Amino acid sequence: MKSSNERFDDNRGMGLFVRRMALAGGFVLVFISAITVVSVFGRYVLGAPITGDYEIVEFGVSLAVFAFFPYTHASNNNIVAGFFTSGLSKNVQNIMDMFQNIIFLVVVCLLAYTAIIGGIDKFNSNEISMFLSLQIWWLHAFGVVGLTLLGWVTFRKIIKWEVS
Amino acid sequence: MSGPDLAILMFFVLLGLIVLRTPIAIAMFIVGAIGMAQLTSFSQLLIFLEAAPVSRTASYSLSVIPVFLLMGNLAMRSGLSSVLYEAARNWLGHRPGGIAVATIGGCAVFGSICGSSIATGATMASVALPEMRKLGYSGALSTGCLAAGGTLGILIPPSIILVIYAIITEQSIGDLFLAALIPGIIATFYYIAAILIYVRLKPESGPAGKRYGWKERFRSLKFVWPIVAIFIIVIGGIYSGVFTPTEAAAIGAACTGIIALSRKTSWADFLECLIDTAKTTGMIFLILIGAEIYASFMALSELPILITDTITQANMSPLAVIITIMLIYILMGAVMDGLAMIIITVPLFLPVVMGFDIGLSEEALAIWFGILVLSVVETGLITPPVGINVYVINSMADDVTLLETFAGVIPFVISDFFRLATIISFPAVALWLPGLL
Repeated sequence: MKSSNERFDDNRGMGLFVRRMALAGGFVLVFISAITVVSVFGRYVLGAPITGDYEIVEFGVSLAVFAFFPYTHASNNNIVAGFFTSGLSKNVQNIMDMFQNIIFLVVVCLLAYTAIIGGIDKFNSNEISMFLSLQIWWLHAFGVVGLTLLGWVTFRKIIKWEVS
Repeated sequence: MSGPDLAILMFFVLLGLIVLRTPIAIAMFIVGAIGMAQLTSFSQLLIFLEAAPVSRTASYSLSVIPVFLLMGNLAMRSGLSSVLYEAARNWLGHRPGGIAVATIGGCAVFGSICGSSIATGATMASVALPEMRKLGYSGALSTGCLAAGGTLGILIPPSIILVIYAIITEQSIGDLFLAALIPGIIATFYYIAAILIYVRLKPESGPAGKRYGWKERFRSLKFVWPIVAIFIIVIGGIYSGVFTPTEAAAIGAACTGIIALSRKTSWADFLECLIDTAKTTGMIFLILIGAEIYASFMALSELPILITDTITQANMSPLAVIITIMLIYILMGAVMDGLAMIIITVPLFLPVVMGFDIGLSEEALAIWFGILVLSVVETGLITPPVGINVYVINSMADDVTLLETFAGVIPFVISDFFRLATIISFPAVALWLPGLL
């Protein structure tokens, strides 16, 4: 029997793709750290911080976090308290994990669906950030992309599972 | 069904889901969503979900978490642990048990720029473990002191757990960091005392190492000063309000990055550092999304108010209450993840603690409780059956059995209890530095 929670191979296919996506998110994180340092330098040394630096950080972190979600799940890093079921047979654990992934998928779909509705709402009301006039619906767009990929990873986990 | 009844029912559903291997973030989400739909309506829930999860990820106050993780991972991948370890060994290694003491010291200093305990323990193990084994240290002492030393990573600020506690309780990150400093130093000294007593009882487990000359001792401090400087800039900057926590973390990460560059950290290592940051950040934010809806439901249900009222009416002394809460935490911490435990229980227990009439302000009580919670979470990392640090360190030592490692952490678990007792008896150790007395 194959576990639905087998780790994805980081070097090919879906595993490689979500790893690259996580790396891209990591670079976004490095970028916002750099912006923050420059802005602090500007504030204390030059007397002029970067306008809207907080907004850049907020958008950047959101983008990065949604880019991380698929990899976190693909590499089994979401916390599960395995202790209570560690005495059960591997088969039973695998069946449970398969059901857990179905629940996970349902939750992710709900989150993606509501993010779309919320995004359309922000788009229609033309809600923008205070300093840089960044569109709030962009955040929802990042979210939907990240959650969709997270859902896809979860779906792959479910169909990978097989009874021997 | 009334709000509190529903919340109690859903709390057991939550525990049930966690036992049945539901990822903790998802379990909190399901329970929070169902509870909220019950108390309001399904359409209200959908409206809440339209904005809340997305805005949770785009929050400035939470942005400090990934940046601190980045800083800690940079420190880990740059091999700073080896220079810290060498410095500590050159100064302390020639005494009986000295290498173990040096390991604890190295972990404490490393913990001052790394907010995660597994990272601290594992990176220190890669340098200290081979050396201790070569010198003839017993498997129990060498792996035990590393597993315990790693926990200093979260106790000594910066600490990811404290940042999350600060955010969910709306307390100042700077105050909490300062409050954790003296308890962190106390923990370090208690661990050292545990080692010294241990090698006195079992001298063969920790023989003395080579004695280094003064020149080598001072030369080995070369990389220690920059770390101390980063620590002071980060913690001092946050506390004094010169920097926001995110800014301090970014500056700390930049300085650590410069050290990493100067130590010729490879590109591949840098990418791994980003990947490590991604994994942990993704895990934490998914929990935070679940936690937001769970906490909203708990607040809406008014269960926390009911618990506080019940305890007030029962006329229990604050000491009895706090000891009860700590016992619950020690039991929970032994079988589940500390972060999840904090997020699930703090909304229930904090109002109780903040209602104590022991001559401290509500803010001071919240900070003190935060340090206590952090302290027990740390113990949970090394107590059986789950003690994640024990497993991580043990997996790095091929010739040491898991039982030996668990035996090796016993002296440290005992000293953890002494530390907890110290912080409970003398809240001043936490509250004096941030000036909350």
